[in-house]
Amino acid sequence: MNFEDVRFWVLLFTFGGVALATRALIVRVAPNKASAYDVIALALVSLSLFYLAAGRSFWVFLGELAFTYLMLTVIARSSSEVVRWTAVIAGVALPLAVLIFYKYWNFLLAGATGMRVEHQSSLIPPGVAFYTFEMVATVVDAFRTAQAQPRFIDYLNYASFFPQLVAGPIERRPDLLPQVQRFRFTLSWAKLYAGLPLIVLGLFYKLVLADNIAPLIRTDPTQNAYVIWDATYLFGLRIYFDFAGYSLIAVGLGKSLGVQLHHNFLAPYSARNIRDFWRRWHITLGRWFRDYVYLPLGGSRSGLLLFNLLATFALSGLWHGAGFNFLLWGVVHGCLMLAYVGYVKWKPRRDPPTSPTAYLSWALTCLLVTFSWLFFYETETSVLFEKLQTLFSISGYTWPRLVDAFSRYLNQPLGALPVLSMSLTVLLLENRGRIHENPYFSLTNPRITCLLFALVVLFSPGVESPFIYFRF
Amino acid sequence: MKRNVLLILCFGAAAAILGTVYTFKWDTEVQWLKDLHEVKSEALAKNESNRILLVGGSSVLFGLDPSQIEASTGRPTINLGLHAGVGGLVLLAYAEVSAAKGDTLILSIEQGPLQNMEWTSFARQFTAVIHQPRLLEGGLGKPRRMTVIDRVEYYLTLAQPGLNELVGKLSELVLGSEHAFPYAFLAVDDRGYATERVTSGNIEGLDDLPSSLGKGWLEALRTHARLMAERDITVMYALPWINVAEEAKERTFLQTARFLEDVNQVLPVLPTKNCGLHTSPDLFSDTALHLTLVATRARSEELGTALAEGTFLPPGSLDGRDCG
Repeated sequence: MNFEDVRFWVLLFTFGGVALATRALIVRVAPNKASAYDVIALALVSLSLFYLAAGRSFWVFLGELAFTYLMLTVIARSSSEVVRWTAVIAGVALPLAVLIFYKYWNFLLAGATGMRVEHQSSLIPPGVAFYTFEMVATVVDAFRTAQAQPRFIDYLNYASFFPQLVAGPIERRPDLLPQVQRFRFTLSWAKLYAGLPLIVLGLFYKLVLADNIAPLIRTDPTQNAYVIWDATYLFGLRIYFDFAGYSLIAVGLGKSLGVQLHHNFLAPYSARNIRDFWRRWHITLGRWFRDYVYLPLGGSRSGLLLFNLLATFALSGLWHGAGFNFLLWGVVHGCLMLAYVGYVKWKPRRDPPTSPTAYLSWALTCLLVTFSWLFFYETETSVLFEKLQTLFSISGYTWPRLVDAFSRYLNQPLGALPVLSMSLTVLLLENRGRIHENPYFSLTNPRITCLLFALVVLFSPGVESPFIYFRF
Repeated sequence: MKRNVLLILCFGAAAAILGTVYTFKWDTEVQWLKDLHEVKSEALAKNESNRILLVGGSSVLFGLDPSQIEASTGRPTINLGLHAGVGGLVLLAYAEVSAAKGDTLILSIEQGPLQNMEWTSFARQFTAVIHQPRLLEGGLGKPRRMTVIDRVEYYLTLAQPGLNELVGKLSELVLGSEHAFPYAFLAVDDRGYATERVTSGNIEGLDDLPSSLGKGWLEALRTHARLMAERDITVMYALPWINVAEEAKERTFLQTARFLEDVNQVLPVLPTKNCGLHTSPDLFSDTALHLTLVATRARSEELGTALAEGTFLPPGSLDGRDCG
């Protein structure tokens, strides 16, 4: 579901309008059928939107959904441990096998044999990396704890809830399933008021900030270290606003329908250390890897902290893409986390948040996270290593190179200044919102929302620029 | 709550109205293209028949001198070059609506716009401002038809001038600086040809070019040729001149030859030396597709001579190894 595509909104309003009108009729004619209608209508809307986005790969998703439901049924009803174990292994293996086939097949095949077979892009289910994790988590949790078997329609609504199906947040059964079970397909001013500011903020992040930053990023090979830092910094902003924008729209859509989804980002660039960063960046993915990879490996208690952390972060990096650069990105973050754990052991007492050391810590965290983005966007390994070499050599930092790197900003000061100023203002407001434990507190004020909506209309560049995380 | 929701929506609507008014009245790039269209329309009105119409993006606007071609052929020649940013469908349709019985259309559309049938915001805004939204469908053959959702997107795009445009206009008004879009200030003669150039010292030769028509374009050009033939309008294709990197000249030559072979399946093509590829940046003014005034004269002479002598390659002549 591409939220920046007009087609999605037209279809949503059309399907949603038909569903609401039909409900109004049913409430008059057969009010006792309304709650049954609500869950069916939600399923139809979600599946229709997904089918129009996914095409033929819709059937792959539906097949996985049906299979995992079958495994949940077996787990819930069987008293035999062998059967339950078989079901949980199958329920985890099949979705992961589908994910590996679509996403990592070429990577593994090329690595092993040098051959490459391209998948037809129309067959790759959108959001496969996201919904796979949701299904796997549901199956594992059903095995670990005794849970009542949900109805198929409820599981279908849980797994296919359209605001979060294609790019998260990755929800968990205890949070989302009860909500879809008691879902009411109604609109109210209260729900719209809860959701609209987040939708507008998400559109602002994506269409105004991310899409206007994108053309400024220069990723060509270069010997100029300043250009590399410039590109990496801008990419860090772009990917944040792009993905956070999507997540905000998803959360806003959910709220408009009366469903609370988890925020995926909580002012990550105000993090004071790397652990804080990962509590604020792609939160639902981080929690998934913590609960289903890191802790089962033993976490910090098994004496294998080094291995567990690095393995978890490496896998997390690979989740983003089938490439060595993503693996390295994950390993870099794993190393940063290990370094932080070591630092905390050496200096357990924390500094006050307004102390100079805290600010230094924030600056260092920003610098290291920015540096790590180089591994994320530079998919050519040879170019990546050349750029790393440039960053760590003094010759990359000469005065003429500095002038060359930033001359475009000086020649056209108003070119990049507005979008960078808006980006900085947003980040400062997010940081200020930390006090309220809601980074979006100021940014979802009704008056600010009015302004942002006007800016979305006027400032969108009008070029097609898919959400970055759709690639994953 | 209701009041706040309605207030937010009203602000959005007000911004959309303002944005639309801005696009129609003040958007620099759109107004520039509209002004070009008006010059070309006047030229078409003054010379009503037996014309040679040069069709393409800015490689035609900044690359073919109609008065030179007229001198070679004795036929009134008009430069209908616009901007590749409007996309191949609009350029093709623009050719169709401009041509009349007895005309010769020289399609010199760059390879880029012939790779897909996507509509750009620029295309939507331009066709709206000149009140010809049908151009988006690509002419009489309608290679791509507008659906209901396309129409919604069409109207929404009109409301989006974009941050760069608004900031550029603001800097023009407040700081008095020149708008970032440099072509807006160049002179255009009464045949639609740009007689001035923007110069840049930093032209990078291209190292990769498409080697075929994009999906749907073969059929689109075939339909176009058939419909033009029914109207007694001759259609030919001519490659643009392109600056390529020295180290990529062999690869780009083969790519262009294969591309031209694709086109030649349905259209006659005018022969172009070396497939129009040049490694010397001195022939180009500010991009790899915009010729200097001197290079324009050379290209126009080559084309004019070919037209005057009737030297063209009928459909099916090329084998993908050269450009005739």
